[in-house]
Amino acid sequence: MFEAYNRNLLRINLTDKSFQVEEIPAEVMDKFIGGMGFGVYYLTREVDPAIDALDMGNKLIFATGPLTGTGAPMFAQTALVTKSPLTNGIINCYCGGNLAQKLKSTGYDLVIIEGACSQLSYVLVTPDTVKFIPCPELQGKGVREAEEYISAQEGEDCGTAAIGLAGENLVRFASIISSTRVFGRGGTGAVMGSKNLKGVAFKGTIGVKVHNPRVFALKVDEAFAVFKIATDNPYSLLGVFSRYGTGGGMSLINERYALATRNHTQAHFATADKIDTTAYHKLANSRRIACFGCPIHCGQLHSFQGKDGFFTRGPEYETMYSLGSDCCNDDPLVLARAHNLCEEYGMDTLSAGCTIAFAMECYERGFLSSEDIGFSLDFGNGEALLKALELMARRQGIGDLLAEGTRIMAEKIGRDSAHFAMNSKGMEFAAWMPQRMSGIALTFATSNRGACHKRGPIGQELMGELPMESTEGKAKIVAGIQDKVNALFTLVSCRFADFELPIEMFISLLNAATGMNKDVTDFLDIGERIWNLERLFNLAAGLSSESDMLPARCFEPIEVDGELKSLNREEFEAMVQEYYQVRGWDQQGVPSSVTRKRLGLELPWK
Amino acid sequence: MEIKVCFYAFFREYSPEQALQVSLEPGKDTIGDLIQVLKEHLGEKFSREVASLIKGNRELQGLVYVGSKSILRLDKLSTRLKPGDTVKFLPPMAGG
Repeated sequence: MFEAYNRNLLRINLTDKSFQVEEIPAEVMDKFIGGMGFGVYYLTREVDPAIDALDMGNKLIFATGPLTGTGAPMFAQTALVTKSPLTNGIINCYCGGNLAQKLKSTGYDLVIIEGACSQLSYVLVTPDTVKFIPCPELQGKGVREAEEYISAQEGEDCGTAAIGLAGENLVRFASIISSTRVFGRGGTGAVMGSKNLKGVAFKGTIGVKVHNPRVFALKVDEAFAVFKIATDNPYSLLGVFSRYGTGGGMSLINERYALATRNHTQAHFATADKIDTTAYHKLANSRRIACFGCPIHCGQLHSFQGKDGFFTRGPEYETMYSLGSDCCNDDPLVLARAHNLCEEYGMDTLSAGCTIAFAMECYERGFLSSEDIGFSLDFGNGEALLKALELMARRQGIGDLLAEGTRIMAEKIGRDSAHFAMNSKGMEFAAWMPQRMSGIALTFATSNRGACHKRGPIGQELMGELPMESTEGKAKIVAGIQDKVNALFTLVSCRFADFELPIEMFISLLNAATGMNKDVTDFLDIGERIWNLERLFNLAAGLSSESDMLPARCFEPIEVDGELKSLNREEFEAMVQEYYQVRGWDQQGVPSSVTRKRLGLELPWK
Repeated sequence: MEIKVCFYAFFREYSPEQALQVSLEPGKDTIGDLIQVLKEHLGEKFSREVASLIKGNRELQGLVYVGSKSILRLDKLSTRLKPGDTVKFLPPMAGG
């Protein structure tokens, strides 16, 4: 039997306020490890791919991994898996902070939430019981207020997560937030809102017992040593993240002409340096903040003084793009306030910003008038940007349309707006430009989440390890990254850990903690198994190879330092076909029976 | 030979100006030579935190670009410069 697990899952039914504890079979641990693996395994078994994501039949699965709550560094994240109201496919997303450690301390490895509350409520999980607590007084309240309320009721030693107004209003890209860390993408907050669930709280004291404490402690020391060398070097990636957060690297992206600007019509934002982290260090009192057990502390808290003073955690780089360059907003205070609105209302800053950039272009082209919108929504208009975010979260006026995201907006607006609605599978683009980075083009196109940046060769392409534009060899590289990151997300590792830690060290930690005996091949096979299972779920949900296409704008020329460059459509399509081959899928992108058999995939649905 | 040198992000702490025009003497045309000139021009902080580290710090070498290529992908400190080149000191990035 494997160690470092509680070996139990908790199933909570909100409809009849019941709960039950179930044992997690050893075979599931062996084949899926934990975190994302657990989430994808149980969701694909238990949720009909064809249902609407906001139907009561959808489930929310919060999952930890075997390294959660141990002394191993950079395993603070909680995985969340559900069906996405934005993409209509499966979504896995991750939140740092201390939620995972608190969840695991209740004696469960994962929590499956089913059904819906009859009135707005939150749920408290302890090792002994589950409480369903109505909280109508929190209706319409911001995330911070909701989390503070729950902590005040249940004690500050709780781990909490909550939704804001956007989740209650079923904004398709609403987030769930835990103490300024975010399950950002894909509308998990809307799923929680559809269940009338304002928040969750975990409170326990159960520790983690590892298989071989002596070897595990040795491996933990080795991992810390790797991160210490990295953070001591002010020029390494994690050294820079440690000092400046993710926003410290914006000028590299800009100078490489890969900073999406003006709804992806430009690759360079002339005033980008007004909104990067070094600019915030001049404007605000800033300090660093870390997730549980993390030696990097990439979080940046900024406190702005004055009578309207406020503080933010972030913006992160991705937000500097979405609510910054993509909307031509170079006002750092407007950006910080926009970021804060998204945190208060609980909205994904990426989808929110990218959607507003799309609306700005629709306004510029006359597809949306100032009468439709209620005001002028020009690029670079900070006041309009903030107003649009308010309306979006409230679903008031034009906000009701904005809250649907770019894909549905384009369907409703019509004309040729879909060609510049920058999404893949309905999920708005993350901060990277398919026009400039062919690996990112393939990543956005083929990700089971939609236009997600978590599993792409970003650093390799930006820092010159791989050519940015050539499609040669990218299919195999992207598939390899997808499998590897999936495997890491079973643990559940921070995405930044593998920038320094070799894969063998992750596996050593896993084996020493659990008593497993995995090697690199076994580990990567697990990542591939999960990827294919998600793909099969998405196909059953109605997605197809057409969903692996990018908007037409991605194939239009873009100016790069005085020259026009573009992603060649034929080369891109050939790269997608090559990717299908690498994956063992047919020409329509369906995993073949041989591939399914090799990965041991059983399908509970047709 | 005239070379343009641009500083970005945290590298701007080393230079009061974001862009400098630097003259290199004939025969002194490598990145290593440029670093020596910058050391004299920019002073103690640059000397301590960049010039004295760059030889043994692969990551730092990866942040110095000639045009669109990092010197790590060229000839490191021996990378030869030509008139009109732009040398950039850029931060690292991957994901985020």
